[in-house]
Amino acid sequence: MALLNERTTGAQSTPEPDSVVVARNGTPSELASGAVRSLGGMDSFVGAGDVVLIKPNASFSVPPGTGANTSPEIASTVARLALEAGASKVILTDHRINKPGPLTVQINGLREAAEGCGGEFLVLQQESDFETVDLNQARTLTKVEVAKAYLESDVLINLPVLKHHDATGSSVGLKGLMGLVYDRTVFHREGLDATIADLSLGIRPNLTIVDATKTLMTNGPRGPGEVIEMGKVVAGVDPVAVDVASMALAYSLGYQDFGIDDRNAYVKIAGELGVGDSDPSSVLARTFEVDVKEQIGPCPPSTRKGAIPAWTPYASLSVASVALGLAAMVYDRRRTRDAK
Amino acid sequence: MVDPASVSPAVDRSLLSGIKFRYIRHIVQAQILILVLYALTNYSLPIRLLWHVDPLLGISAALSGAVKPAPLLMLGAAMLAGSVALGRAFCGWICPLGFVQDLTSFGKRKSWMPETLRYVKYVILAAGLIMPILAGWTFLEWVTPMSVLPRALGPFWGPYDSLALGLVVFLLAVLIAAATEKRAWCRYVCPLGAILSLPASKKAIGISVNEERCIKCLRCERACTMGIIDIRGQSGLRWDSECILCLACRDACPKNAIGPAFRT
Amino acid sequence: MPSSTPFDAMSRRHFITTVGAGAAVSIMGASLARASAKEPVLRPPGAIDEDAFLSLCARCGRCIPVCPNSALRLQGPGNGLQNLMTPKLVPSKGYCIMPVNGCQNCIKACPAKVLQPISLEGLSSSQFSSRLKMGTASVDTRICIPYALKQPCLACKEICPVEGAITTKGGEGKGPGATVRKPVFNNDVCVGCGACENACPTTPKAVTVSSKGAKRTQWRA
Repeated sequence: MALLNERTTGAQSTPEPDSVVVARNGTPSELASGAVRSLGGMDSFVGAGDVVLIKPNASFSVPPGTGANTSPEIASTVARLALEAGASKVILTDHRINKPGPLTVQINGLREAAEGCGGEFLVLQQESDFETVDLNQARTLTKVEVAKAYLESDVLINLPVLKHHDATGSSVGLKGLMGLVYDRTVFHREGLDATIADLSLGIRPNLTIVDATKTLMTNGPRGPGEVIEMGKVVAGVDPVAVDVASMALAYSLGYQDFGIDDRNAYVKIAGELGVGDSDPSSVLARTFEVDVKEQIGPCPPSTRKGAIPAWTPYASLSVASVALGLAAMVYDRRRTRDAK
Repeated sequence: MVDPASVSPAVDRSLLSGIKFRYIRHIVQAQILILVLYALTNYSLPIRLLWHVDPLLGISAALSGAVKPAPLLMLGAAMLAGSVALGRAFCGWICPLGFVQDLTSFGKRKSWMPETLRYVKYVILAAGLIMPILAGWTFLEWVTPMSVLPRALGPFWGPYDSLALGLVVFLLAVLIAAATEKRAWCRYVCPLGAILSLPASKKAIGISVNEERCIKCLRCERACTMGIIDIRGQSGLRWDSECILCLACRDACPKNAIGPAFRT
Repeated sequence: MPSSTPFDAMSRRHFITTVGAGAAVSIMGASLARASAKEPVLRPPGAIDEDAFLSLCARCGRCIPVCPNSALRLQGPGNGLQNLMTPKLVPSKGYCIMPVNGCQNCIKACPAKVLQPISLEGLSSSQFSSRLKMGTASVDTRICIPYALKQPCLACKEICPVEGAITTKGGEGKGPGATVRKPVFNNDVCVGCGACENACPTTPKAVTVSSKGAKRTQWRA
């Protein structure tokens, strides 16, 4: 069992560790790369040879554009940035809600996004993909099974989508960390807000980038609901502050469920636990809106080789059985002839 | 006693005398089994034919009165018609459950189970035909080999629970029985074999013995997979309808004295 | 001449005995079948009406391995002899993804065609239940977390692929517990896929899917 309160990478320190950046006026790719650039560039987070784990929202088997999952364009761009910063391996992962997992990430386009740049999508499904860790200073959730891929990686980039959530109010980065956990039923039973906050003690992303381009404002987390073209990407190192800033964007448009009071209480609790800054005025004082100057696109659609047809093993079995039978026959004939 | 002059050889002996039919038969059986395995996980293959030719499914469904019988019965009727000409050749050359038993049937003994057990399969068949008429429901699906085998193999490809374990154990029991008594299922239990054997007295190809060449070595008796050869007693097959045309007798005979022949 | 069939070998008496034994087995079996209790079974999608299903299903088990979510199982001996080895949908093991992507693997695999094809072409998900309805979901409010503990959950609504099958009520108040929304199940829209039961975090499951309200199809060769 490991203690998870310290993460280190081989990267240089970030120039402004506590600012939150809101990128606007660009395509989703430009927004994502511009936001990262404003925080010092991906080089500040990813060192040469690092294994980078990117955690998008990829749980629902709905097509892109509905706001239930991270947009494949942004996922692809962030993967590309990580590779260009020198990552030895880029893995996108999520513990899917809709099953079967491989079909879900095919429908929502996240597998394609991962593979287009030469990354991979790791679908977390079985208990053996996870390992139990202790959570120090947790109030409710003292132990949790987290993805081995997280424990084995050097850098974690949380890549959630900003959206409405029927149960908690809204879902951004802190809520999205549930996708690295095996048994989510415990969270529902022990109280979602308390357990999400405790989880954030144990899983510390190096960087949080929020997809607020097409935002699901009602009927989340799966939808269908009202989708708004917000056209922004929010990024920062402090996961709590990023959540506060993202929710404020939606709340200021009049959507009450994105406020932090009885709803989204986990943000406040995470602040109390010292994970980050949950005070709205303090966070907004450090939030900067940035016009994007980047010109970078996502990776091209992957040119995957065609899979071998399903009948191949059976056809080979068939050929083998004929060959074996004929060989046995010839051998037998020769043997009886020699015996005569 | 069979008059050798009335028997015309089904195959030209001189050309094929060195070849054991066993290998050709196993090759054909293997292809059918591979098709069944493919069908377990590949839904798009139109392998329905393997099930539709099973007359038991069609007849019992029709007898239960739940559906209009015509489309179901057609292929099954074709198979029954085929058995008029070829007897239980389906059992020897096509049936995948028969094939897996052949793979475990290495026993050289002729038979240790009592002969009256052979009637059990007719009892099962009768019960399976009467049940739909009496009670409107069918049970032959539990025992027809075309369902027994895929049901038992499914757990290796798909989800697994305690019932699945029971099905696998059942298949293992059939195979172990076959190891001690060749094709025990086919001899004593299979209702499909039972119904195919009914018209078989009229069949066109059968096994016959050439009295002049026979040296009474009895190798054919031991080789017979259905245990029905009785050279000393009746100079031929004890129960002609049980013959699955596996031609093991022909393969075993050192004098080419026994083999398939057209019946006129 | 060798005897042709065991029938030829047996005397008329033996023949009658055989048929009689067969009839006796039938009568025993038929009465056993009537005596054993039967709960209506939650069938795979496209199932024909139950009497015809029981007559035609070959009990071949081919539908079981082809389901991508491993949602189907063969019925064991506990639910009547007639149902033995017929397929059933078991939501606690897996749910039917036909409402998600139109999957019809089991339907295509069935050699007896007791599972008939269903076209969802041109329908929005809230209309699926007009053609596809395996059963209906319902909730036990004594166990369901929002109802019983006043804590947020809604795992069922999150996963439900049919728009409008699960809606919410409540949650507009102020103060602790008052913002919790509770799931409401709309029977007419629900297709009975079992996703909600599969996702429900309680033990025993607060949400269960039964075969009530199932729409069966018509058998065609």
